[in-house]
Amino acid sequence: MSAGAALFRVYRPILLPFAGIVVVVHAIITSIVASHGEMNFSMWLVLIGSATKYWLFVVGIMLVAMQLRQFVTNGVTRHEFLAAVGAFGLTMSASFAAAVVLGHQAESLALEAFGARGPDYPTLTLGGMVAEFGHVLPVTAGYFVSGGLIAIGFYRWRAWIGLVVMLAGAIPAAAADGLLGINEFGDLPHRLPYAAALAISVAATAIGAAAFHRAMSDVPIRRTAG
Amino acid sequence: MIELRGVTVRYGTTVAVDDITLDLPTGKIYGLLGRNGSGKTSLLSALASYRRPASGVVRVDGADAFENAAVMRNTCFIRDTLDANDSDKVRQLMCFAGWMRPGWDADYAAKLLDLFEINPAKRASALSRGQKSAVGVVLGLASRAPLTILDETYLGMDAVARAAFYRELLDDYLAHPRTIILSTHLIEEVADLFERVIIIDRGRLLLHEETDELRGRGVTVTGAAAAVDTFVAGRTVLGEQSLGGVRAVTLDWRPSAEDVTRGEAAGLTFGPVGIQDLFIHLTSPAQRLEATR
Repeated sequence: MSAGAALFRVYRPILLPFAGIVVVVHAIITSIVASHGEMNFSMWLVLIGSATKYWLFVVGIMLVAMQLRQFVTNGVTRHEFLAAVGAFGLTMSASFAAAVVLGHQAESLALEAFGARGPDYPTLTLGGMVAEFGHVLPVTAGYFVSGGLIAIGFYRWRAWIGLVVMLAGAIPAAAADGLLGINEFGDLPHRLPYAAALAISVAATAIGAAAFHRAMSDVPIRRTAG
Repeated sequence: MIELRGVTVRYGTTVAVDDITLDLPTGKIYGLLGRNGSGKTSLLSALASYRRPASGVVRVDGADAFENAAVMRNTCFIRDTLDANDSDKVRQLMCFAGWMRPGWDADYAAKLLDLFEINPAKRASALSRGQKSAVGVVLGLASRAPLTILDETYLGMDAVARAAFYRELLDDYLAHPRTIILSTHLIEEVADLFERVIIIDRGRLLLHEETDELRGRGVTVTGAAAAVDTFVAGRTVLGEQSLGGVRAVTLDWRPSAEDVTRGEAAGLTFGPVGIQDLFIHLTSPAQRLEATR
C-alpha cells in the first residue's frame, strides 16, 4: 500500500466519528436556538467553520508527532511521507471547505423549510457559494500547514527553538484567517481586495509548506520514552 | 553488501560515532557489541536512515541508503523502545506493518504474538516493558526485511521469552536467510547466534571479525590452580574463575600445538574463549590503547 493510501486509512476511523459528532452537535444546538426564534446567523459557520480548521490544525501536529515515526519505522522515506501529507492536506482542506459551504447551504434550506430563517440570515447564491469556498479553502490549508510547522519545530529542535518556530509557524493560519476568514454572519472580510488577500495567504502557506518540507526532509526519527 | 564509509554521527558537540568504515556482507547474523554510550544505537540509526550522518555515507548494494525508498522498504529497525503510539493497539501495529511491509507474514506474526502471550487487543500503553520488547521482536521478525536490525530488543523480557526469541530468530533466519544485526549486552546468551562480531567503543570501530576467528583469538586454560598459574605466567589474562583448587583462566593468546601438548601433559585442558571475556578485555579502560593499535 502506498504511504498516501495508508495515511487516509489511518485517519478514516478518526474522521468519520469527528464528522458525525460535529453534525449531530450542530443539529442539536441549532434546534435549540431556532426554537427560541428566527436565526439571523449561520450556526454551521460558527461550529463547523471553526471545527474544520482547528481539526486540520491538530491533524497537522499529529502527523509530525505521531505518524512520521509510525511511517518511517515501517519503511517509508520522509519524502514519501511528505508527499502523502501534501495529498492528504490538500484533499482534506478542499473537502472541509466544500463541507462548510454545502453545509451552510443545507442549513439555510432547512431553516427556511422550518420557518426559522431570519431576514438577516446569510443566504447563499451560487456565486456566493463559490466566493465562500474561495475564502474557506485557504484558511483550512493555512491552519493545516501551521499545525505541521509548529509540531516540527518542537520535534526537530530544542524547546526554545520550537517556541521561535511556533511564532513563525502561526503565520499561515493567522494570515489566512485575518485576511480571508468569514464570520457567523457570512461577512466576507474587506481589509484587502480578494486577489491581494488570497495572494498573501497562499504565499504565506506556500512558504510555510516549503519550510515544513525542508525541516522534515532529513529530520532524525526520535524514539519514544520508556 | 552494506558499506559504511567514514560515518560520523554527532549530537551537538558530542561525537557518538567517529569515522567508522565497515563492510558488511549480506546474509549473515551480526552481533554489534559495545559498552553503554559507545555509539551502537547511533550507528544503527545511521544504518537504518533514522538519522543522517554528519559526514560519511551508508550504501546498500552500491546505492546511498539515506532516503532511498527501495533500501528503506527493505530495512526494519527495531529499537529498544517500541516505536508505537501509546494509543495504538497491538493489532493495529501488526495491521499497519502488513500494509507497508512487502514481506510481512501475518500468520507468523500471529504465531509469535501467541508464543509471547501478547493480547493483540491491548494498547501499547498497557504493555509491560517486556511485552513491548516482545511486540518489537514480532514486528522485526514477521517483517522478513532483508536487513533486520534489532537494537537491544530483549529489554525487560524474562528468560523464557528471551530463549523463545533466540530460538525463533535462528529458525526464521534459517528458513528465510537475510541480514540480521543484533545489538546486545547479553553477550553470552546470544553469542552462539553470531556469525560475525562487531565491537565499537567510544564511537570507534574496535573489531570486526568472524565469530570463530574471534573465539580462536584466545583460549581458556583449566586445571589445578598451581599448574594453571605456572602455565599462564607472562601471558595476557582476559579473565579468571576459581572453584576450590580448580582455576579457569582466559588468555588473549593463540597457543601452538606444542603449547597445547605441554599444557595437557601438565593436566590442563584447553577450550575456546568466551566472546564476553574478549569483549570485556577489549573495552576495559586499561586495554583500549592496546586494542586500537
